[in-house]
Amino acid sequence: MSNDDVVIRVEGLWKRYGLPLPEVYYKGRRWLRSLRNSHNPQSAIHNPQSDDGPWALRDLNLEVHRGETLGIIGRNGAGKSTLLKVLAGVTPPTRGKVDVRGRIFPMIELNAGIHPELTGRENVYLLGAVMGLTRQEMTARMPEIEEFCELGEWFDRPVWKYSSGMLARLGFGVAMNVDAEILLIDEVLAVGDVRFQNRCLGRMKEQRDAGKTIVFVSHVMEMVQYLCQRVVFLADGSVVGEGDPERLITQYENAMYRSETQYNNALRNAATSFSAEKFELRSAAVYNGRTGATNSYSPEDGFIIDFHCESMVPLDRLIFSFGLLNHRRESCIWEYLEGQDLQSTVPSGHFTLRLTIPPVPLSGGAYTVNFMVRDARSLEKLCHYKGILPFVLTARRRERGVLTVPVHWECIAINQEGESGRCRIA
Amino acid sequence: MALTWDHPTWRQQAVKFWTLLWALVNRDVRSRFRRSILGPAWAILRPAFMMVVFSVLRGFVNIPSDGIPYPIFIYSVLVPWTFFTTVVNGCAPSIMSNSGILKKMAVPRQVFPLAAAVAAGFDLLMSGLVLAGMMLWFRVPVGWSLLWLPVLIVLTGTLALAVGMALTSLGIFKRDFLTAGGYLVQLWMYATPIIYPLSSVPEGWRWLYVLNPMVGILEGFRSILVRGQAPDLVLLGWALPGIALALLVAWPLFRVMSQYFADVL
Repeated sequence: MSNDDVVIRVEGLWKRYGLPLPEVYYKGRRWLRSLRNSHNPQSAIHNPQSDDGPWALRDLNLEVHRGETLGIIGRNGAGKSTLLKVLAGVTPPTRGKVDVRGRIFPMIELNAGIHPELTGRENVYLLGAVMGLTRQEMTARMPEIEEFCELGEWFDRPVWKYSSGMLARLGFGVAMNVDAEILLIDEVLAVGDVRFQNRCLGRMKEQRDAGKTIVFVSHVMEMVQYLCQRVVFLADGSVVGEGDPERLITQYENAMYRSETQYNNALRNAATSFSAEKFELRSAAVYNGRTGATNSYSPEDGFIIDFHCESMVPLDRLIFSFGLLNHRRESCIWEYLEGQDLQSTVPSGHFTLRLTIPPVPLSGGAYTVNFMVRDARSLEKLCHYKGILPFVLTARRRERGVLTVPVHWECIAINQEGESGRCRIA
Repeated sequence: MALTWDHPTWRQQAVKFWTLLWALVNRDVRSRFRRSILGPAWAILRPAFMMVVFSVLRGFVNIPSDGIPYPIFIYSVLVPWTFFTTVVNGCAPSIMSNSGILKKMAVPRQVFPLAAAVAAGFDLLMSGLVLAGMMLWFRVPVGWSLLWLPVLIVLTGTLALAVGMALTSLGIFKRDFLTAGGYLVQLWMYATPIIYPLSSVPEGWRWLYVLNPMVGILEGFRSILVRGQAPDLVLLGWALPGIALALLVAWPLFRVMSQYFADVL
């Protein structure tokens, strides 16, 4: 692509929040500290300009081309929103170059400046002014905005009576009518009902197809995949991956869940865990069913899950249940076992419960495990762990369903009104 | 560090700035009346309340007033003084209450204090109506000197904005400046001929006293509104260095510091 095509160019961008003060200030403070107490390490006072310490953005480089829809993904705190803020000109970069060509408009949480005592209409004028529209432009667009917000008679009522969804619609209605060549969009679609979300999505697609440049930040990977042509993956304020959405979304999900695979931590930190005195899950692990590896899982290999348990009650009184959940918390596999089958083979209270799952066509993505033990007689819950053992199933394609099976599509002709050999979808 | 945007033309920017300014003023003024019983009357009540307090106080202690009826002597300057303090003290809240806008949009930050000042001008207008009534009651001679009023109001507003914006620039980062600013304004009142006349300031100190820009401005208001005369131009002239200095400090300070407001709000 030629250079004229680049509408946003970011070179070596560093950002740290707060007021940057000259080095002299920190030297002075360090000197004062050393006067008072020479034992204190001098490094306690950091110049926020120095390379070490936390940065919101760290040597970030990025190019966005005209007419492109770029997705930015990354975990919380990766610097996505900071990047958008710097691009929008809300906060200055600490170091580096930011070059934006064209009218840029940030659709970042759109209720800036709304006053609860004013009506929807009055607030729309204010929002328009905030977003850089003149009063004439606003008056001209008012019917369209009113129509888009779908507030009906509520449009002329004070905003403090609105529900949060209605409030968000107000902001979005105005934002959708602002003319800009570059749009920055940050998680705004998370508002409103499905119908409104679909309208917004449709409008965004319209804008994209009209040749506008869109930079889109979202945690909803389906949305990113649907809208974006290219994706940038941020971690700790830098770009760690860039390119094809499908590949990067998989990379993101793998990274996101892999970092949590420290089982013990997860077990200890799981807020939803419960364990009575009578039974304890000591540890657990998941292995690749073919290779035995603990870091790469594939649906074709199946997997083995070991629960290392200690029971203070007879096994014949226990019911074990196991659930495998995908990242949407949908239960994909659920099985249970009554304790009496185990009793003959396990004499003592310490044992390993091994679960072998054969190759199943589960979709790729992140999975977690639920594990529960009940007393068979009283049905008392003895131990309950939710969301443990996070692991990632690597699949070639990203799928939305629970299972990925090689379906076969076929179009079958129906003879109707003499027409034959043609496919018709009514 | 370099930052470049394809900016719209100067004219477009000016139009946007005014649109936003008016939208903010509109919001501030309108929203104040909703859910309020007295509404605009509050604008009148504050200087009126102070007038009553000081008039009662004068019953106990002897404060000269150059032979002018004390209520109008004091109300004529309390009205612009209230405007001054409202603007000074309103700058920082205008930034904080609009942090929602400030953190999302790259709008020029000076629009918020300015909008607060214009909204305060609305209060000034309201209490000015009462003042006009008092002038009729006390039969103040009015004439062409009234044309000086807009000049004095603009000077007051400029000085107040400069002081308020300087305090805000620092106060957003360290709240101490705002607290100190509140005290400063209270002290300032006693260093200004509001409850006492200029004539009661000792001659030897007067050269220093007139360097306080509010002296020339408020004396100007008093001569127009009480004596029906044009302001003392020498006195007013002495106010200009102070105003210029305040602006020269406040404007660059605000321009630099306001870039980082969004970082800390």
